Amino acid sequence: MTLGSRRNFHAAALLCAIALPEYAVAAEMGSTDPIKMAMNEWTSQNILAQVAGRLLSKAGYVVEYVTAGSNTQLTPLSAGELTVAMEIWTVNSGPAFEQLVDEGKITIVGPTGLEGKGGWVYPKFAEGLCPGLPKWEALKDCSGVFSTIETYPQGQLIDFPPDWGNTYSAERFTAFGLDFKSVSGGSEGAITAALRSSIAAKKPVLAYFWWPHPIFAELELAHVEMPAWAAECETDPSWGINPSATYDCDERPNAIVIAAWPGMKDKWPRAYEILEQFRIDNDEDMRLAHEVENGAKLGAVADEWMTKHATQWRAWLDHASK
Amino acid sequence: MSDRAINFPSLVNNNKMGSAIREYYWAIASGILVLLICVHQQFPGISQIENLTLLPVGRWIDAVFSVLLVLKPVLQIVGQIVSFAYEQLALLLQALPIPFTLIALVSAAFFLAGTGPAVVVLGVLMYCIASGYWSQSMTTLALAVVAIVYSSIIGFWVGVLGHRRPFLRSWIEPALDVMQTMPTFAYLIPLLLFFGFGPSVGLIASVIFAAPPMIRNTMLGLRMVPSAISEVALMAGATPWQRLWLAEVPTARSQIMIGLNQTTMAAFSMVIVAALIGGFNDIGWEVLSSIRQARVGDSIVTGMVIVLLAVALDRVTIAAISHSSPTAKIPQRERFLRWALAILTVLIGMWCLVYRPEVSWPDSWAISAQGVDEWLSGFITKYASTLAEIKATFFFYFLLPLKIGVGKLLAGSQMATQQYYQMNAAYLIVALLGISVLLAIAVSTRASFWFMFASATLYFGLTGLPWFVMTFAVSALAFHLGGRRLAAFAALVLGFILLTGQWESASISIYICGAGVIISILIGTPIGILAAKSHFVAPIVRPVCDFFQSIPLFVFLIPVLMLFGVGDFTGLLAIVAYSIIPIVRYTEEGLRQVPEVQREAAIACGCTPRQVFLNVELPAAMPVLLLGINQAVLFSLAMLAIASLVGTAGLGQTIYVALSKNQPGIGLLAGICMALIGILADRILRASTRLGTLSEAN
Repeated sequence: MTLGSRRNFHAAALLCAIALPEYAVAAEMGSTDPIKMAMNEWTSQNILAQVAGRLLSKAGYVVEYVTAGSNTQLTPLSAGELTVAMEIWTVNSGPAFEQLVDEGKITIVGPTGLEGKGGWVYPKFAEGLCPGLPKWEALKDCSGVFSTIETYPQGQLIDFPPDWGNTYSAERFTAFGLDFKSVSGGSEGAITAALRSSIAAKKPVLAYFWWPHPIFAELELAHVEMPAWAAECETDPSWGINPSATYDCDERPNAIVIAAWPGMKDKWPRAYEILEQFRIDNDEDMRLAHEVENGAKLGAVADEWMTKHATQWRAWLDHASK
Repeated sequence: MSDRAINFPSLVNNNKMGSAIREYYWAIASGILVLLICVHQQFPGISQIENLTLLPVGRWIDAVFSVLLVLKPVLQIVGQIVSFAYEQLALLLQALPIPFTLIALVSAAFFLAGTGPAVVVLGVLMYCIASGYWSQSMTTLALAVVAIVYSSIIGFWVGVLGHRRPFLRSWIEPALDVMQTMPTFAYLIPLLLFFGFGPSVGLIASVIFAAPPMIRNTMLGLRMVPSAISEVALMAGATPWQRLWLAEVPTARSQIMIGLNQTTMAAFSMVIVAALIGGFNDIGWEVLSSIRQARVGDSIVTGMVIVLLAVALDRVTIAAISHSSPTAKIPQRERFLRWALAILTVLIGMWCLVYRPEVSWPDSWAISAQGVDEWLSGFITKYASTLAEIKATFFFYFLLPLKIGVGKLLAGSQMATQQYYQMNAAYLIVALLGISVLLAIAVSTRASFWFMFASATLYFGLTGLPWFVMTFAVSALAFHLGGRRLAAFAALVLGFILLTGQWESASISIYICGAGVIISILIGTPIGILAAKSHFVAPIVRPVCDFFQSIPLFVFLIPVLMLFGVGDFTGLLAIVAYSIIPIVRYTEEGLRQVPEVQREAAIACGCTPRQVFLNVELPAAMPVLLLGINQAVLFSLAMLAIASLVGTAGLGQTIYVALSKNQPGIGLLAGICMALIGILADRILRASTRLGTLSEAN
């Protein structure tokens, strides 16, 4: 296997050496084949994909939008059947993503500019029932407030479904000495529905959720405040308030990146460089996502971003064409 | 269903035959059961699954896959060929102007099936326009139509082959069972691995799921062809090909058409699963998006597109079958009308193609169901405490004892100290044993055995019942109903689940599906009886069943979750909502099939209406009723995979976790376990119908 691939590599290098002088001008642009942009199952990602797709179209590329599940997209991404996946949350992509990046089967192009984080959230009205929130210490005496018949007498945390990777909530409960139990939420729709129903029924829930997410614009939610995250907190028990436990701190910041098929850099070099430039911030992204979820057309919202940020993206294109 | 012959049940109970052997059998079984439970109590270590050496079958499957990956280039070409037809059709439907597609499809329905179906098609297409999802609907239509065409062609020929070569049939039938019982999610990742990303995976998954009904019905139809017909063809000097094509297939036609119809429904139910992989940008994707945002109204609006497309194709195929039967002759006037309409369609179509009129449906006219969400929140605000009480009652008195057992519940209560509980447990066991002995003396040892097993189940809970107790009880039942082979199959299935490390998830699955099926039977049977007895109820029940069966299962989850929160109870209700349909349908069907002669004979004998029902109708309908339960078990397993999206644990969840860890082997293994549980339940229930009819016939 290794011998074969090495031989291929030499052959490819040789071909490049012969081919390069002839295509020196065109190599910047690369292939005219369509770039396949993954459209995942959440709004914010769709906005990023549409905006990035428009950028690449402006640069002269053909872009094809392909719907793809966030779990099922990894295999096609590593095989080149999809080219780009915007907005991959590295902490929650499961071990499969990490493994594919380590093996060099998926390339990380760069950050999206979004700053993601996960953590425990609750509806604002719960502060009346559990005084002391949003400080985590308040939860010590509030397991009854968040208790359900499934977890009684413990409090319930609606956690990420197990297929999104470990949130280490159970470890945090132990480390902080909280009498809570983590229960799988099942899916994004399920957790969202549970939060909405909690506010309608005035029955408090504690859920693991992530932001940026448009739900924070719709519902009055608050985050539980925990000691700031540090790398040692996850490895060194003596760190932090509990000297004998790890994870006695907040959630690790979630890097949100653009991932691509490793062959993209060679096939569409300029497109790759444009995406390296791409940045959007949380507030802007959430504003757009909220518009879409309130009924605006996705394409119109992406067009609006393009007209408003013309100078910004022109600079990215210019930088990439140098 | 009409082909099902129902044996006349004798009014006298003839169970005495061979009862001596049976008495003996159950006494031994009871003895072993008590012994096993004692072993578990005395040496709890034995029932610990961690102490067993497990087979890493999941990893073996992965290893086989990595070798088979050599085939990927070939399979990818196959996939491209398969998806070619879909891609062309989807492109065509997208490119054509809306009025043209509308007129062409409606007149096609009129020519094939007549006025009624054409009106249905018109209404359905208008709904697609009004919902604002025309282009997505057309993609879905293209996907479903291509999947149906492939499934029925493949299904027909496999069916013919299976009919002609009996040795092949013995391989085909178990394969069909697996194809229909394995959750589709389990084989999505392997398919993705081999065929690459794209529409081909969704199409192939649809064909795998939708072809079996066609195969089954083709085989059944050909088998039921009277031998006289085949022999006449043979004597007339027909070649085997002519015999098949001119004699057998026309005779089996109606049964084959039933298969086509079921294949149509199955293909539409796969739309959502295809959307889960992606690559389609169809209505399934829209349903998933609205569910992800927990927008109930939108999910119903988009889900209805799938329901209505399925209904339209269903009506057209059914009507086309009866319409085009060789005996029917088209009257002169209608023929003229047809010509006129055909010419008109072509003219309008050409006008549309030349001028390409832009039809725009104002956004403000679009069908919206935002009200549903508001109504739901209002309902929750109003009845939060009542809902919580309903849930708590069910949870404490039904689900929890079934899941973790009364024993743990007693031990878990704050007041019971360990000693107090053990003393209680000792009394309880003595009391239960006493009742068992009494039952054995007064009723039968069989009743005593099941009483003991039921109390053990309630005491340990389905998830805490030691594996050897469960395996023994199920095998004993299987032996009683189906003899040595069925018992061996039961032991093998449970042994496989145990040794591959899936026991824990499987027991949770069995608990939640079992509870779901029990509730479905309790609620569904009375509804079915009402529908069979009352002319007012039936017309209401049928469309409701149609709706629930073809709407994407996902649509149920969010509203139920908003009412009852994350967890088992919500998963259970979703399972009940789905598995109750076959119970209602088959109960109604079974009771309607009871021959009028039997009923009249009973009345002539002087039976009261209650006696007629309990002693004549119910026993006569029993085989069909059991078939309904059989279907309910399969439906509940299908829903279980989806219920894990609201946090229900079990094998369904194992599949999702495997999906994220890129372990196709484990996912497939969990899927195989679910399929095996489904097949085992099916065999046991079938054996019990056979036994029932046998003992009646004696």
